[in-house]
Amino acid sequence: MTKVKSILPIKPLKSKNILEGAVMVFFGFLALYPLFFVLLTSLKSNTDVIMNPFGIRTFEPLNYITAWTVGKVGEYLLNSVITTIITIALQLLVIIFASYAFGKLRPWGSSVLFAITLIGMFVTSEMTTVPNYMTIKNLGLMQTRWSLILPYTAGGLIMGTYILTNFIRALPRELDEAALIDGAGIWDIIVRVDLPLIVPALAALVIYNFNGVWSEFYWALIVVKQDHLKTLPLGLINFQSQFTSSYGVLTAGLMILMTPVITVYLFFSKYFIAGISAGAIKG
Amino acid sequence: MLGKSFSFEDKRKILGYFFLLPFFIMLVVFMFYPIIESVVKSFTNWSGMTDSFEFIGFRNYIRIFTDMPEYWKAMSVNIKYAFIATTVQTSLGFLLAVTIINLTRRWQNFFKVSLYLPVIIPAAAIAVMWRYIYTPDYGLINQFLRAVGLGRFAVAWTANQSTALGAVIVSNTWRYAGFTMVLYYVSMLDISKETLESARVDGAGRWAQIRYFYFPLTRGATEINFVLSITGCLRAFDIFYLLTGGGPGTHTKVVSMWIMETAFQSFKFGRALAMSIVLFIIVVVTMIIFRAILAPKDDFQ
Amino acid sequence: MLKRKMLKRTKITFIKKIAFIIAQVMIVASLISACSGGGQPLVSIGAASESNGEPAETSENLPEAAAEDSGLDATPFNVENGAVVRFLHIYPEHADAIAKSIEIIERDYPLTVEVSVTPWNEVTKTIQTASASGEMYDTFFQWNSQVPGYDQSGLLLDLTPYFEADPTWEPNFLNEECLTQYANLDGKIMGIPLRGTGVFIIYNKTMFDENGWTIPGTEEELAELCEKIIADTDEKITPIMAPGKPNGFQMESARAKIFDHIVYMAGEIENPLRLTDRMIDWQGLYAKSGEIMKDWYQRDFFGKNPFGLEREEGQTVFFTGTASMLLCNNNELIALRDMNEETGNYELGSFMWPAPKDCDETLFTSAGFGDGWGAWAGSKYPNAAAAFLRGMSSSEVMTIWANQERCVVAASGIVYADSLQQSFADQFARSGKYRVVPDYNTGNLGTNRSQVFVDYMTDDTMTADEFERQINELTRKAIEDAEE
Repeated sequence: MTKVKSILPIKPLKSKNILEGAVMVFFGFLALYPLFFVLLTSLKSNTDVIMNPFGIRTFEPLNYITAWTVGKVGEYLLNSVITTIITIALQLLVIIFASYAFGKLRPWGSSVLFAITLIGMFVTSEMTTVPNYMTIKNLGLMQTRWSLILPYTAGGLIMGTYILTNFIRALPRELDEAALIDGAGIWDIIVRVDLPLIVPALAALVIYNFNGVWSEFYWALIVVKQDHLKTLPLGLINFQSQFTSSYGVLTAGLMILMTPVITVYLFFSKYFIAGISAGAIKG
Repeated sequence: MLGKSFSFEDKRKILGYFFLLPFFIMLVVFMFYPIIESVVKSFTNWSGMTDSFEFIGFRNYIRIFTDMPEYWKAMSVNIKYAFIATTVQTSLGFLLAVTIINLTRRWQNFFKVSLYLPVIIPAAAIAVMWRYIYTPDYGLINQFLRAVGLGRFAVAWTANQSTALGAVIVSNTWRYAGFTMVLYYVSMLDISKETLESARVDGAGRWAQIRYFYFPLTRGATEINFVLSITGCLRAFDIFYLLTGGGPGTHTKVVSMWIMETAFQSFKFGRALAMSIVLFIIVVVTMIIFRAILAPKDDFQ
Repeated sequence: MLKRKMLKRTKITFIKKIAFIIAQVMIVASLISACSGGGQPLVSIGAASESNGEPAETSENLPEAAAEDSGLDATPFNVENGAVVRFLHIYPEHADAIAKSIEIIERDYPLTVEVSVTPWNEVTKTIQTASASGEMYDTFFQWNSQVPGYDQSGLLLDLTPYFEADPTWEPNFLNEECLTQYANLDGKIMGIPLRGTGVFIIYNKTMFDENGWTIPGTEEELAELCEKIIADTDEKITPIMAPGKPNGFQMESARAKIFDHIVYMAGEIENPLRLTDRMIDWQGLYAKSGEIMKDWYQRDFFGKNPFGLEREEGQTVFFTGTASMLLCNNNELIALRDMNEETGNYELGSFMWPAPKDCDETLFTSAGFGDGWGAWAGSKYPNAAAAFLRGMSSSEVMTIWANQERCVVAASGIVYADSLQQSFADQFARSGKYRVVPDYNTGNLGTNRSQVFVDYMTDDTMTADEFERQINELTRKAIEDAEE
């Protein structure tokens, strides 16, 4: 069967679609407004936050400076970047291989294995915290980056593999067959035929996992004790205390935390499209 | 089909084992070992503070089933939540994806970006946002209601028995509708344009298209969305903790909160692990049931 | 055919691009991590300075009873050589006070302090994980309610020998009670208190004066005052702002105050079961406290939505002049002062929750010195840990906390600059009498009871008797649990 992926409109806009469009814009606004609200809050003084939550009467970009210094963003930012990039890279490698194996190669017994791994998705943090702590300790990895990277990598594997396997399974076999007929070897098929087709799903995974790792807080709190290893979310606790909260500075810190995630997202969402046009075949 | 490739197929399968190796190593170390460790400890009276513990057999488990009504009350909250939240956020995601897929490229980009954004916002930010929306005196919703004269509907959304769960569901849907939408969207991209074209030429209207094409052909995405959502709801913690604190009273107290309290306030870690495992088993069983119902066919045109 | 080749090429270049990016990332990442991974010298605040007093000796033994009159800070604890005290605290907002305190301690004792900070609602988890893996902190923050539980797990260092070795330590504290209330188990001292926590009523004096309202002397007068406020202001002003989120919070505190007096008048205040939190049959007394609260709640004395408001929202309502009285924790004082300046700039006063007419004593049992520090029994440097605690309770350090952070500290001889703070401190003098000190690990009993209270208040179908029944049941279960 022929297959064309295209994002060109299937039918021209009609009046009915204007209503649809309006509803969509409304949803878009709903989705974006709270973010805008956080941004607004981060530019106000603390009293202003309390007195008029939805307007703005003061202007305190100083909040960002405070967030940067008191939240030790300068120190922690690099740690977050390194930890996250390494984790995501590792995850991608492991996930792509594993999903491909589950989805296409399907060694004997793999469906059973797949079912078993899904079970790992449901572990709770109480179940994993102390054993993982002991494991890291016994491996001698305490006070290193790997005390964060390894558990983070493991954490994102199952869901990523689950999603990606499903997508790979949905790929039609005819492509492989066609490539085979053209004389491609195993590796060729993997790299040249199948990989490009799953790029949209990969992009979605990266975005999701990136956020998970970047904003992870609880494990980092327990495991990291030294400033030179701390990640960004740990700096935010300086703004939330038992009896007071400085919302202006806190939201400024949150904006600093969120900006890279959003940037990565905007960047990778291009690959949705790039992957689509690269995967277009006809014939 | 691949007639002459017997050994080729075998080669691929063996390659498959190698591909799976790193995956399994990581999982065994960081997931399966803790599970086993937790199962073992759940049969003890470990306090979570020290190394020492004694085996007490099934006592923890028996207690859960006979002397813990609060656990099951919380479970009912989770189940209610799981059903409603999943239905809402999956349907909404589906509808949004169906709408977007037919728009121009620019709009598609805009919506993909904006609707997915809530997914990547950290929990702390969510707490800040939604508190200012729900707070009774000067929250966004209540201010709006009062401004349009509907002030008598302005209640304490997260502290009122009848609205607390709904408030959490709304907040959760806001957060994850974008995620379900993206999964549906990516799945819809795989639907052949020609099939849809011919359907349209044959006179199929919008609803028919949805019913006979979009919906059945995205079953894979539906399965994923349902499974992820239901299992996530059964184990929900963050959003309840931040929005309602389990309130009012114990009305929206979910199982994870009980587990957390038992582990870290009562110093009864062994029992908390048993509670975790019971929850774990319930989630696994649920997932198996749903996969069986919704499993997509492997090959489709 | 040609088209396919062309498209193939686009695919290949695209794949190459992605692979290239990933490869780059990995190379860069591994280079960076190779440089910065691995052990590096531990960060410490201030190096060990010259010792003050006798030279330190590595000794696992307890210090000799070498009492010197040369001053509070010079007492030797035989601090171990090269001792490093790992200290966990929960006050990011008091980072400055902590830093200063540590400076003083390191000046006076030959030890180094390594500080970790964790949010207040994660401290138990942090301590548990650290303890379960054998990497516990030498000194740490603890609430007095945690002491029995920690002790049961063998976590706490017995400080009694150190107190005996240094007779100047104990007089530093406000009174004997603050020490015993805080962490005294079977006569052993298992921790030292830092500051007091209590729920006070502060009122908007400016508003009171304008409207001619007077401070109530009895509980009945308080109810009448609330009625008057509602009538005088046409329901616009909330009489008592008691934020009830989460888990009942200050609404539960209000109930507890009413309850104390009920119990006193019934002659049960010194019932040993009550004092050790083992009462499992209140015979209607608990129900009565719930009834009064529910009555007040339904008469809007606490405003329309107290259970929907958190601490900050309660503060906001008060400082924007929409409430006349606020139930608050004395540790909110700094925030309150700041907020008051920026918003209403009202004159503030405080008074104790009044006793009912027929009650001859105004109680303040729930207030007390519940925040403080403890030391780890398994520490490598127990003497250093004890010395650290000794340093924390010196007048010099305590003064920092009192003046800079506006706490009511557990030290004697402090004069408070802030008038509200001083009035709090004076009220604290009456605190702790008939205080409930459980002798078993209550776990999450307190939270559970509060939650049942909220259930009762917000559920129209629940009776007061059912309320008390559930409370009794919870206590009974907690006792059973602890004895397992």
